[in-house]
Amino acid sequence: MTTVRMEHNAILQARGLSKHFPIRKGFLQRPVGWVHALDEVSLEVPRGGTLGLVGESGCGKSTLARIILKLLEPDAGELVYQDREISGLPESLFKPLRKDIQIVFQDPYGSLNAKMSIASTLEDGLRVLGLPKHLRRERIGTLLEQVGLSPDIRNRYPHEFSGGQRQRIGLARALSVEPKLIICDEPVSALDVSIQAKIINQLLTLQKQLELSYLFISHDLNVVGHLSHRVAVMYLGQIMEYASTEDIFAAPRHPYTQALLAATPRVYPEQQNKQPLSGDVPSPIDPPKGCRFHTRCPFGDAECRQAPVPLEAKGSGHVVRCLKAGCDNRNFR
Amino acid sequence: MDTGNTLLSIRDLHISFISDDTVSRAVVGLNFKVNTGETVCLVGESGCGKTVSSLAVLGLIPQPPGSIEQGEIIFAGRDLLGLSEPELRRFRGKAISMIFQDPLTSLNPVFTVKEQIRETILAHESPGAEALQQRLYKLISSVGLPSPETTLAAYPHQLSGGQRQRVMIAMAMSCNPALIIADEPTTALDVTVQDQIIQLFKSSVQDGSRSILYITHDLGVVANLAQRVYVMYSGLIVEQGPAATLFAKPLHPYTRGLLASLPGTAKRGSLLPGIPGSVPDPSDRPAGCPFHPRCSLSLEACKQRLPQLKECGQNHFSRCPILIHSKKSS
Repeated sequence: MTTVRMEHNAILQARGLSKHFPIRKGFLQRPVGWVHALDEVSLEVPRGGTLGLVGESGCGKSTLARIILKLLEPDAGELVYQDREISGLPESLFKPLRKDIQIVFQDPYGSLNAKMSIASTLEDGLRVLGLPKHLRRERIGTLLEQVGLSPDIRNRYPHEFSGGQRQRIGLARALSVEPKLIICDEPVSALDVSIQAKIINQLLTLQKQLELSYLFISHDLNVVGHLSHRVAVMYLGQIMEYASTEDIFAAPRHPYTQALLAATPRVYPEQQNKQPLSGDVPSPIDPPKGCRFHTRCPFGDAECRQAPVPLEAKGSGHVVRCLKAGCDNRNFR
Repeated sequence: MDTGNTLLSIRDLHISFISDDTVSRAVVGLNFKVNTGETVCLVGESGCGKTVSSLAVLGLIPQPPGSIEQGEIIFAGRDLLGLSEPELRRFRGKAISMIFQDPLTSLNPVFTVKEQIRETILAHESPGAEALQQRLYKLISSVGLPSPETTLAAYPHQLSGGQRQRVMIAMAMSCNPALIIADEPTTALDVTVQDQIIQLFKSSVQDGSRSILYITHDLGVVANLAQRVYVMYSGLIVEQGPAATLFAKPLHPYTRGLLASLPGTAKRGSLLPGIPGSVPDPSDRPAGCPFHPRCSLSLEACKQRLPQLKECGQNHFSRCPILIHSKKSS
């Protein structure tokens, strides 16, 4: 996977990350199979920019997020944060870096502690930072203002807020420890469109103000396209296509990317080349041999079923995992 | 589009929920209709009364705390609000069926797919064992599920989200209903699966005898599926019209705001115009036009009096006098 050229201005680089989860059965709990959650995933989050990560449920997006947060250790590959390898780092050495990488979750209902007031939710991180008590109060006020909420709400509880407001509180919590990289795991998927627009605006504004980098995970291509500078498309634990946002949207090379774009509902469709993908994503326990997408691909043939397909560079900064990407499949019908 | 073949018509419907000290007016004077063979979308954000209105059609509003204060729901010439519970039960699943958002919680985990679909059919008809079996097979393959044998014997947890939703659709179609009410049926699904389900809905209305009332907040889905669209805000219809007209020339600030909130139409990385503020609490609705506190066009008159729906194009109605007027003068 070394065809991906590393850029110098990346805040985080993943190099060949793999993670397989064992399926244990029986009295001795011996592994009887493996879930191929991630297979040799390489990508990078640009400094002060956004990397969008798209794919259907079960493609390994959230596993990748958990590896970056070091909630999981990868089986292979390395993770480099600001020129420092962090994947093998023991917790004691990683702890000072933990505040640099934060996450905002999808579910604004489940990700806040119902029994903690907003102030105490936000205060936890500040305490870890070692901020004295009188400064914490002031900082909580600033944080709430930063995400567009009134500082007066500090003593209220999560149930008193709407979904959009809770997502703002989740964002304030992530910001409280002054992170450099925020992993946004489907932060707007559960929200109504007008609320979604507000959170997207908030993310854009904060990125400029605080020079934040985002890894933005979503299955909504419209949202990813709006926020991201680069986009990686994942399928069954592998990167299928990785390019600048312009290239992904204007000249997608992988049939899977093309199918995702065609399936994304648009109010003003530019072209109507509908060819719905048939079937569901195969199980990651026993992914298809050869190209993992061949079971659903309109171009798949015997060649695709034979051997694993490597990622190949097609133009500057554009990599594709497809044997057929050389032919002109842009008129995908 | 008033060709006289109205299947469902809701007139001046008011629904409230009463708790100890508050009265929450969820729906305040809703009017809409669905013609035979038509796919109609009801669009709006959470809390605008979409789901409550659709539940009212099937008599599924718990009373109390709910209360249908006035209005009528006419389905094929009969007022559903006047029916008794046993009479209503003959409609549910037979003439009108419903598909809910979450296919996992709407299927019973301890029964197989076969048992659940069979129950629906046997509640209304009594076909012989042979005929029933054939009907189940036909239903399963009509919704694009593989090998009817295995699918019918499966329990809900053995199916994927998309497959479960297909089972729900098969169940909804099992008695060949005239109207299917689908409440956000694809919101929990991936885009590729969502696309498959939408195609399935489209093909199920092709013969022109079935109508669909599709409730969603996703304008992209609406543009793909609907013939006619109703935009609902705070318990009222604020704009209605044929899908193509409504998206090309929206004439209500709320519809415009919803469209402007969508990423994918604006320039990449730019701030989305969106709509300021949030949906009003149904127990404390602003006077006049309910949208006025969030509207950039609002005048003093908007705060005084609720504007009526006015025709502003062919079959196109809006509740905003300001935009209708500006269109006429331009």
